[in-house]
Amino acid sequence: MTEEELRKKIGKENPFRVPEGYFEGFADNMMRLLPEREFKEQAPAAQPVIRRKTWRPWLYAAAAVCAVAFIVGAVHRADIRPSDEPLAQYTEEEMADYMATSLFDEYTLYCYLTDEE
Amino acid sequence: MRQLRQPATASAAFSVLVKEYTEPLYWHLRRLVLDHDDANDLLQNTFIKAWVNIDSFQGNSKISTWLYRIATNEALTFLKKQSANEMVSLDDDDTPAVQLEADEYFDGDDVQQRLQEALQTLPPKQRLVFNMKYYDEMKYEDMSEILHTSVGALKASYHLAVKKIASFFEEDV
Repeated sequence: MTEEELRKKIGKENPFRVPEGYFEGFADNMMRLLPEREFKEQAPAAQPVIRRKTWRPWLYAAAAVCAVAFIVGAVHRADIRPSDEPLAQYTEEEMADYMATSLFDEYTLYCYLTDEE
Repeated sequence: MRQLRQPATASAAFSVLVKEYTEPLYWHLRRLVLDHDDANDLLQNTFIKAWVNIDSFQGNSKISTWLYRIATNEALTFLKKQSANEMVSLDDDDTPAVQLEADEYFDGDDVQQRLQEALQTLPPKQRLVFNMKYYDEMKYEDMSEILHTSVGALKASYHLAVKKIASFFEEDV
């Protein structure tokens, strides 16, 4: 008898049965039968580890760059600060032209010229 | 898997697992031990062992493979004890085939009855291989993981089982 002939003879139907409602109620019954279980302490979720040795040099470098930038900026500002030359070197006409092209309004210009007189 | 290991979610997650695998594992066990009550006991033991040892499941294989492995070990241990008891007992009424005739949860015809008798003549592991291949239509690779046996050995075991069952029926003719 070949395997094929045997298959035809015995088929595949399941000759076994279960009591009515067995599968439907099994899970609930099973859960009631489970014993208490000890849970192993779970490792906490991996937190990002800040390694001081890694970020500290960068912090120092950034601070140094900021300090250098501040010093360079301060020196540059000193360079472009208006000189202390006396205003007297400018003629009244030059002053009037400068003030007229600046943001001064007419009243301010008038006051300035009046005070000068 | 994580839910099965967290105290707050373990019970609900395991309940899902039980619902999913109750039927396939039951039939796997029932075909081996024949009796409903024995299959029920073994199924309960399987789930209890899985519940208690869930932390030992590494996730290297599918959870179904792990459950089948527990169930199979339970069944083989049971059959070994049963076989030892039969050796002690001289009563022919204790044989599984005889018990099957009186089983209210067995509806098989003569051919099915003879098939079960034929299967009882096979060594338990060979019967297991035959059932898993013939009824569960399980792949040899999956069976190999469950039974820790090479695919080649499983194929040989299945063909030998088929040959023995065929011979059993031929003797009837």
